[in-house]
Amino acid sequence: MKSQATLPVAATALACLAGCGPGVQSVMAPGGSQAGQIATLAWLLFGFGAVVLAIVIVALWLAIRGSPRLRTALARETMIIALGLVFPAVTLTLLLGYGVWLMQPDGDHDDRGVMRIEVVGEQWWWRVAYAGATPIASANEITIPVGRPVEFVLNAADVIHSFWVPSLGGKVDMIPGRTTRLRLTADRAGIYRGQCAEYCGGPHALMAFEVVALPPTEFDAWLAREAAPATAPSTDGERHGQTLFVAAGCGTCHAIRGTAASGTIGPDLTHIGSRRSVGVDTMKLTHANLVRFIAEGQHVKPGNRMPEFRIFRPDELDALAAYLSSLR
Amino acid sequence: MTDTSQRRLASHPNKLPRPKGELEALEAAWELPKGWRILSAVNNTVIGYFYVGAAVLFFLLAGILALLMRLQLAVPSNTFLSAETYNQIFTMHGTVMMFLFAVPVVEAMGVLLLPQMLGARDLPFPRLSAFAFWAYFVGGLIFFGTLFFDLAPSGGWFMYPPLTGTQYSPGLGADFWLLGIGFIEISAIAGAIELIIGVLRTRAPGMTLDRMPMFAWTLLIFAGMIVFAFPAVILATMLLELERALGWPFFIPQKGGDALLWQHLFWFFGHPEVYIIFLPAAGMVSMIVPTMARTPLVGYRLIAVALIATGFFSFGLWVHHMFTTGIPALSLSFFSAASMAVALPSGIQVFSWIATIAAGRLRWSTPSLFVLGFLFIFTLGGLTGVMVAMVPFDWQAHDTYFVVAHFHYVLVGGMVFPLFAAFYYWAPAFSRRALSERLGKITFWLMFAGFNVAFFPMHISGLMGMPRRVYTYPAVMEWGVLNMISTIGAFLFAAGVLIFLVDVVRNLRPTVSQPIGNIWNGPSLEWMHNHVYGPRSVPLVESRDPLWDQPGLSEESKAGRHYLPGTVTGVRETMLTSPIEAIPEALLRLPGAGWTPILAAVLTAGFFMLLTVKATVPALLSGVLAVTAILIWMWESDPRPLARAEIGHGIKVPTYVSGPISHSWWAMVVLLLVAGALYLSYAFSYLYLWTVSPQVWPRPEQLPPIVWPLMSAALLAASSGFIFLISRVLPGGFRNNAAFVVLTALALIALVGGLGMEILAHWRAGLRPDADAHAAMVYMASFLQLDLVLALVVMAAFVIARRLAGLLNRRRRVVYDNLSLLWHYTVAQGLLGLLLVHGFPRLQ
Amino acid sequence: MSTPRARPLADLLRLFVGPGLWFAHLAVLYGAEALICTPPLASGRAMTWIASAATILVLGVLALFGAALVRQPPPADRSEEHTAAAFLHATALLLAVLSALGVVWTASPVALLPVCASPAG
Repeated sequence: MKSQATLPVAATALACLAGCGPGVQSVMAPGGSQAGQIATLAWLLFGFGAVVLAIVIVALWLAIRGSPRLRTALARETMIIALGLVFPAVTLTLLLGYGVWLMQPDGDHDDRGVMRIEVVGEQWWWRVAYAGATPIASANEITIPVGRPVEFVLNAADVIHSFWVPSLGGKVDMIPGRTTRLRLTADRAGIYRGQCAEYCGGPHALMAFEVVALPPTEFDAWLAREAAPATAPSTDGERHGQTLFVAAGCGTCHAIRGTAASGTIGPDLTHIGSRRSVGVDTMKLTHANLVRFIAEGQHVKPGNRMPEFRIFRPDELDALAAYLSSLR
Repeated sequence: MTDTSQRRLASHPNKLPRPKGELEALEAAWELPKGWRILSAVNNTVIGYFYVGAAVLFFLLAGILALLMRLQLAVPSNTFLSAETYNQIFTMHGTVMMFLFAVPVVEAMGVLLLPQMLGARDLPFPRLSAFAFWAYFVGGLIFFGTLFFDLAPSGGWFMYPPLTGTQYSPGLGADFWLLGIGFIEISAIAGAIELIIGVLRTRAPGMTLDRMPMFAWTLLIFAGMIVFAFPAVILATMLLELERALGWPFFIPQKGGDALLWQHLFWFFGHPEVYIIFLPAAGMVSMIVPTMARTPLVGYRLIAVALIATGFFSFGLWVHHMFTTGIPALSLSFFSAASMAVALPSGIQVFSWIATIAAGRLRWSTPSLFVLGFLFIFTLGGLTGVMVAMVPFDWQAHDTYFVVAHFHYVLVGGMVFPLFAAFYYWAPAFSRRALSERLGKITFWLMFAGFNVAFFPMHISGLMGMPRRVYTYPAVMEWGVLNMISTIGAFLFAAGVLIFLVDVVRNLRPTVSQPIGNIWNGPSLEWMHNHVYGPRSVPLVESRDPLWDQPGLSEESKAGRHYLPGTVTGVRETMLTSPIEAIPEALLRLPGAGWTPILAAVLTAGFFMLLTVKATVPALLSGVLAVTAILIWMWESDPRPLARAEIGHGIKVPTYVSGPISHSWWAMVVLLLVAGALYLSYAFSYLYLWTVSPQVWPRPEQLPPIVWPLMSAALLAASSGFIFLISRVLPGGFRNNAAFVVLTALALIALVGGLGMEILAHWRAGLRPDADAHAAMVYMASFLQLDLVLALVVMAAFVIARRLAGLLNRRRRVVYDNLSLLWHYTVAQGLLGLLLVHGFPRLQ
Repeated sequence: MSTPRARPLADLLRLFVGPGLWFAHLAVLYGAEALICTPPLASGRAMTWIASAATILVLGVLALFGAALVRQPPPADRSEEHTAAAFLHATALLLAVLSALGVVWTASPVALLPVCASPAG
């Protein structure tokens, strides 16, 4: 099933990189094996719950309206023990066993094929680094290969956050001072949306991200592009934008590999042009939205750590946006 | 023994006619203050009324906050509330609902109903209940008021650090939460002490433990759970406030602290907390169902087992709130197993109620409707609880709207619906008119429909990926329709509450003396003729359903044929009975109205709140005045021994008892359990931080030389010795007075010296509390010790004053006994602290 | 007669034997896991030994306790002290049974999960 669907879906995914609807963010629409197991468990639990609720409702109904013989039977202590103790004890034993069994580590737990990505939760964005000989820094959008387990190594820079991509698997908290790990495997190419799932103050509601799952060959190509330094500006507008970027001090917070900008306080922008969103998934990546985020970031995402840059004239903002869009 | 008890519970009633003036004397002793002076009342009926009213007020206030939240979330990208405002509102909604409504309202129903249900005239410590109520009410109002000054906390009701540390929450909001809620919890503990002793020691004669109303069982377990659960959050509160105010780094990872320490402490409290809220509501259901089904409760024994099991098991679940924190899977599964286990007792209770309904003929009434609504909603909530107890499922559902749906189903279903059933059921016992059945049914259907419309969709939006505590969401996520439905449901539910309020205004006529009475034909004692002093005479109970099985009991009691038909000593009294078999043991004299409890409460609230806004001098002043008020109140306690009193049925009991039979001794023991639980939480925290940050723990050579803790220990032990010796000089006389004062002074010097030496030892060794987590923990031991030492200093001075005024001697010794209990505990705690701080690091 | 009889209080406290043992068992297992895994003080085999020992010990004590309760002669008459004692007796026994079930549930994951593996997520 996996390989058949991959090609057309992959094509859609690639096309969607230019900006389609949001990624899938649903527990019940799994795109990976971990999420798939949990979704199956979920259906089982819903069924169990429905059955037990029905039993209680029926018992209550019969207690009120049933025949005298039935009601006498229901009124006995043995009934309480049978339905209220023995029946739950048996069913819960089975459920507990199944749940514990699901917690066993995966068979493919050898570390050789695993890809490692470090993610640090910050107020209110995601610092990403692809582990390797030279780590590749990125931010706010994570690209992974289909069919290969990815181990996310999670940390937090300030307060507790939580890394959650419902369609790929459960969540794991990012706790300052501790390192936690989450293993996810995407079985289908596509775009999966994630969101911070531990209240971290301020615009926690707007701290989302996307995971783009690409078929292996596309992923390798993407990784190579990502490892490369920033593309040099090719038009006058873009060059003007680059000058403004340096002059306004943007490089103190934001890094663009291959240029003088090397700040690590804010998200890495080396390949921002190839991402789907700006402002940590608050807006689609378009020229206009880039302008908006630079000039009115506090209105888009109140409380975020980037001040508004109203010092720029409209043409300067255009140049900046053009430059950033060129950083593919 | 059998003979004696049979003689004691002699069933020949008192002779009629009763002496002239007996009833008048009783009524005079229990007369209520008039007009605005009712604020100085301390009896359980008046305080109970105030308490329930205050709790309902907070329910309405927090409910309005919820409506504001729902308005903001009704449509995507809404700008009705800013992020910061919304964050304050959801924090306050949760905090007010949990701390200012849920626990207080069930405690309030206990204060209002319990004595009457047990056949007692009042709770054993009326002024303590008054104090607890006023402290809660004043503190709660001030806390809620922070919203209007943009000073409300915004860290969520569970206030996780580091978000709530000074760096990320620099304002006063977090401090208001910590100091405000910390002090309201003290109020809850006072109430818990009251209830434990009330249930175990003031029941009507013959009301053995297996004849006790189920509501009394639940209040006993509720109170016991508070004793062991609340101290954990009180410690956590202290730790975070010390971190914020003085920089002691308990939760700062860079200095060896750990954010998860807070979570362990908070949830060790937080999980029992929800069963603390649920159990009394279940107890109320166990009282309402038999009356409505017109048959005795089926499965009484099983329910008692279920309640105790729930109480215990709920202490073993707390890590299920931390399933996503990266704790090893095996550890998680222990708590998953325990979370399943707690479902079993709930199943027993649900089917016991069904069995009772089956055994009888259910009468359709508003209380019955609310009970049926409860059964449906609570069962559904319990089932989603089993779901989130499964660890892999929780990895998806945690911190999403699925969990929001779950806990509202169990809390609203499990507590609010039984509460409304209780209002409609018990109103006739306290009001001249019953509430309206017609309006009641409308209220029910609006609340039931509104609740399900509001909260069922949240299961779905949660599974569709909507996290908790988000002030908005983008339209593309397609959560808008579900959220709009939830908002509509919330307003439906609110409409139901509004109809209820209309009903209350139109029909509730509070009275202490002439309620409309037993319109439901209920079997328990609160349905007897009732007055502010409870029954005219305390009945001899021979069954679980006295009004059904003992015909004429109410009339006999009213005629004065049973125990205590008047007042023996001229003041308010109730009977002290044995804990299991309810054999009369002593006459308990109770205080009447007074101003010291409310004054002390307001001044204590003032102390905490002024400290929060850093007005230190006014705070200290308020604190000193509060202590003064308490000392005045205490001075009026401990009335002198009188001759043995005849309580009816030809039985005489002592009017003054001391030692393990005294209710005051019991209260002190319960307080020591609280203190012990607090200290054990501290010891856990110390050892836990060591497992997380062993690198900040000292090597043995870095510790103060062992002679220091040995000297401290010697001083502590000596102080205990001096206190013990005082028992030898209790008989009166000048020489003994002098010895008394000298011994007390010596004991104080030794106690304070022991503590001072410990602090000095560490200071001299160069340890500073803000250096790292280990240092902070070391000084925390001394801080906890200091709290008790300060209390003992005040108590010792008080005891000396009592002695010199001739109010403390070999017979009249309760005050000394209480002092000595607390003293020996403090010494033991101090020794344990020394062992931990100086001994543990030397184990390496 | 101003001292309480010791036996009724003992009856009351016996109620807590079952649940108390369950809680102690949980504390031992969780504590052992915490000490074995952070910092790793001992090997995974230690966990299996500790868990098995604790479980067998607690179940054994519960069984003995239950047997002792069952063997006590049931009170014959219907006087107050005896109905109360019989009630407490039955309640203590049922609590012990529930606690034993809880102990088995708590211990069983030890057989299925590796000691310190972090959750897969």
